[in-house]
Amino acid sequence: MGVFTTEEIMRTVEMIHKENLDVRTVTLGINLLDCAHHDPHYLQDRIHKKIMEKAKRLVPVCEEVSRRYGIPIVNKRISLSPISQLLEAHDEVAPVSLAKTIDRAAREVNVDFVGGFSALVEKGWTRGARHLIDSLPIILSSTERVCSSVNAASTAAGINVDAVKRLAEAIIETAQLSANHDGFGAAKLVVFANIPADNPFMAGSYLGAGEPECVVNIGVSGPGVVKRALEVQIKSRNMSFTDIAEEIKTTAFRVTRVGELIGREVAERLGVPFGIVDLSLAPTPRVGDSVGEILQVLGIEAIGAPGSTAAIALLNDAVKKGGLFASSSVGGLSGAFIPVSEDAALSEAAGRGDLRLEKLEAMTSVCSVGLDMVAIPGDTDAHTLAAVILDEMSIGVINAKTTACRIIPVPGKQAGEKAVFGGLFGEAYIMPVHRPGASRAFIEFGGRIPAPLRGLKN
Amino acid sequence: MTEDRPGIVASVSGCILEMQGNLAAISQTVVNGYFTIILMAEFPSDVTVEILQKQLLGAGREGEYSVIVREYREPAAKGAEKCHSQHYVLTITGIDTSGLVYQISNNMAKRGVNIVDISGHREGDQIILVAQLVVPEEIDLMCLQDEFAAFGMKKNISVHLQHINIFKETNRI
Repeated sequence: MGVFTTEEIMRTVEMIHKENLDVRTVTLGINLLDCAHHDPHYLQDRIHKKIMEKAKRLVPVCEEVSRRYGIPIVNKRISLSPISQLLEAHDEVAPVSLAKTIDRAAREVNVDFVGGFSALVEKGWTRGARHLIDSLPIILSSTERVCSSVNAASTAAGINVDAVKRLAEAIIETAQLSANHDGFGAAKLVVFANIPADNPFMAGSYLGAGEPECVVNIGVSGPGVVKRALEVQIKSRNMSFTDIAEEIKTTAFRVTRVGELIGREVAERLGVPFGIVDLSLAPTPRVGDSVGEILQVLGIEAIGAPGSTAAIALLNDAVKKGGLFASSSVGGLSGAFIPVSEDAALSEAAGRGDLRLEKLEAMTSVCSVGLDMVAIPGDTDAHTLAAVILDEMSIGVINAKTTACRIIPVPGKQAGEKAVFGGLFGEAYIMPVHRPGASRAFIEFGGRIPAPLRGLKN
Repeated sequence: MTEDRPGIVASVSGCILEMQGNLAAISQTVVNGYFTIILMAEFPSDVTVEILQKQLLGAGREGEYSVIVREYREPAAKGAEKCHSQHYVLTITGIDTSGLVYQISNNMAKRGVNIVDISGHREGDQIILVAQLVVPEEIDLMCLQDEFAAFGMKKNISVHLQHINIFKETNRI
């Protein structure tokens, strides 16, 4: 078969059609800072026009490229400059109408989600950031496509505990306002430590400082491909951890290459720069598309048992190394995701009580994101939720890595019950939170936890 | 073409050398125990098609080789093809039925799609067929893919048509 063997051809075809390799997202970043205006109507109008102008061809171009290469592009998304920076001259009602304008624009260009309703508050508030965060419950429960992220901590600045506490309140209120959908509004808000400027995945995507006017960032995903590659090798020979790491790296190489090919072509057709490929093993609820299943193939029979943290560390590291060899444009989060509701195996493990919140937190210290799509009892108080978030922020700040919390307090439901979000968001067993109410006095100190020594690098 | 055995390439290339020929291109494959080879070579001007054919037939055992010799002519459309066409890979897997290759290749021929490489084999009742196509740019790719998909559904086989670059990116450093 010319320069390729039949085996090589079929290997690629099977990756896509049997092992669920896909481009999980093409995210078009759009700079909105030139839309700034003190009049809210002008501001909304300018933003709407710019989104329409820059993104109107995104979906058709993605569909053309997807067909050319025979690889699904599952989501087409937009990320925006942090909206709080456009709200500095506005009052507290401006964010809601702006969010509705952005939601409408996203619907008109037919993208799945739009990220960037964001604020960076790791060192303190601004007026715009405060108004944005205060309005999040209404925005996230009344718009379809708008996603929000708030950077509440960084290794350079420490942790803004006041922001974390306010965000915990906002998360609870958002969940209550979307009670008819098991609190799903809260799934569109992520609290970060060390937020990346170029993450293409929602809900945490925004266009960070230093990014160009317009840019295409790609998120490619293939947990099923990695699982299959390991299954075949483990069945056929004795493997050591070194061999396992090599197999994951090789597979990650192929997957990253697909992402870069698609990303560069979409960018070229849109006439914008190509940014990064984020090689993250991002699961979906589909069986065979699960990070948890990879852990099971590696011999962790009960996800959450001892060894789970080491297994995810091995996986995360090997994925990054394979991706880095494949592309000089790797960015975003690039590693292994463990979103509980979005991964069938993780969700089941949580339901059985094998995977507890504390073990999940430990696992987040060695992989890409954090406490992601975690459902907790709806009556969890704000101080306890703030303390959960604070723990996750601390992992990121001290270890100079990105961590995040996307936690959904499910109104009217308790630990062991199920929250159903649907689609790619899956369903989640509600995880118990240990000793709720025992952290109130700690949270009440307020202020900022100072930056660690590692943050003082100069 | 002949039944495969060790030594065929040596005997053919040795014959070409004896006739002071210089090999320019060569491609060889074995399908189900049968050896085929296609070569391009330059010879001194006194070597005719008939002489070369006779010498090559004699290079093997008696009656062993089937040989065709043609004078080389530069293909007319090659330059145009390179500018206005793209390379795709067609893969077909599923239950083998009679006439699959004919139906696909006939459809491609009617559209001016050139099959530049094809290989296939059966595993039990399953066929795996891989073909490299040169598709003129004026052909609507999505229509072509939809036709293949419909054909595949009718025949209960999987048919995928993908640009060659995805195979380059996933299989080469």
